[in-house]
Amino acid sequence: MKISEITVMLCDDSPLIRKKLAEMLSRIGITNIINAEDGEQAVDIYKEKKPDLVFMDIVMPRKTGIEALREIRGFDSEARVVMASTVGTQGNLIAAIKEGAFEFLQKPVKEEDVLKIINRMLKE
Amino acid sequence: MYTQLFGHYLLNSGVIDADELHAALTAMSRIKAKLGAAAIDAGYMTAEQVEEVHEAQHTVDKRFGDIAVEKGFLTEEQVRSLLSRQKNANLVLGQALIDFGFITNKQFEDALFDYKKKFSLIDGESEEERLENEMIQILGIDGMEDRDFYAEYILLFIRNLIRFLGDDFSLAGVAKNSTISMNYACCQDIKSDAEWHIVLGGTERGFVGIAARYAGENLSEPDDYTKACVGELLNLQNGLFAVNESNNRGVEYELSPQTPEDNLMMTVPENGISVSLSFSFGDIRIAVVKK
Repeated sequence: MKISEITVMLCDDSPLIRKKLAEMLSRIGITNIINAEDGEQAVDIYKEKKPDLVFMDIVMPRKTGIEALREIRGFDSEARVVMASTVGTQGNLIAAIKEGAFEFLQKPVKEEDVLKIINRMLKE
Repeated sequence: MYTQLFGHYLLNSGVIDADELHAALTAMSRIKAKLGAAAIDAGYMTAEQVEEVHEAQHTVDKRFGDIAVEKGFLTEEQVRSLLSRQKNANLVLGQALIDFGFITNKQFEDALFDYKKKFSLIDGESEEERLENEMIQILGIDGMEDRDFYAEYILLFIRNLIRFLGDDFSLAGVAKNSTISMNYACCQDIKSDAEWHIVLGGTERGFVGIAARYAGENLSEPDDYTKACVGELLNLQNGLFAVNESNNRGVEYELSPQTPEDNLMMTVPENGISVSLSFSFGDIRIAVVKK
């Protein structure tokens, strides 16, 4: 897969975070980006579009990121979901790992970390 | 990645693999750190000295602390201090990995040293305690219930302001037992055994100013995007506070989604606190109230 062919879904209730992540991805060469504003929307959009990678916040209205991760992985056990949260507590980390998160990023997210994740995804 | 979290530092450093980390994280709730791991973490003993005490325990029916004191590795006071640190999350994780045989005491010592060096963590509690005591005096909350919570929370808030917005602000005042108002604000609740209502806001200029600084953009109106930026700053503060509490005390906090509020009037009770700060562009305020 070429980097320009990758589709990424950004799920965060903050438009600031979605914008910053989209800018980082764009600089890497990824422009196929889908936005979701909460966990519920993320699950619905994932089922319809099946993006190659998801960046998922944890604290969100309607459905938390952990709940959305569980549903997405239940629908697609190969789904690659990166949890990106300010709340990188042991409890959330354990929950994310148990539910099969691809990675866990502590916010504020750094571009080098996003690049590493894309590289890891391409290698796999 | 997995920044500030020791377990994931170990994973990323190649000291352990994902299965080992998963096993140790799952086992953490059932164990507490032993004195040896705590002594390494505190810098009181080397891994070699810990092993020496373990060897001695095979032949003498004595506790780790007693033998370490006899050998001159620890003082009685250090043993008491270590006993209170046994719930530290990094220590418990290290202990689980040692217990499973995934790493040795020596590997734990080396990894912890590198981790602290990499993330510039304050080694030992004295410096941190000194800052907290200063904050208690500045805020005038000595004798107040939950004073340590308030001191830690506001100290972190100030650090985050410096880190993400800049250091061109001053502490303008502290309010308790009074009614305060903000033109624009964002609210979020954090919950462990107790629940706290946190409000970050200010005058229009202050509110828009911190949003613009945090986003690194030219913002001029308190519109939905501006409110989302302040909401994210508040979320970052509370998230980092929750991470610290999880790592240092084993306390897990849940955060609610942030909500914006315009023309907010609120009462700060006796057991709450409000701190106002003046930036060059305007005034902001943070209020923390126990629910």
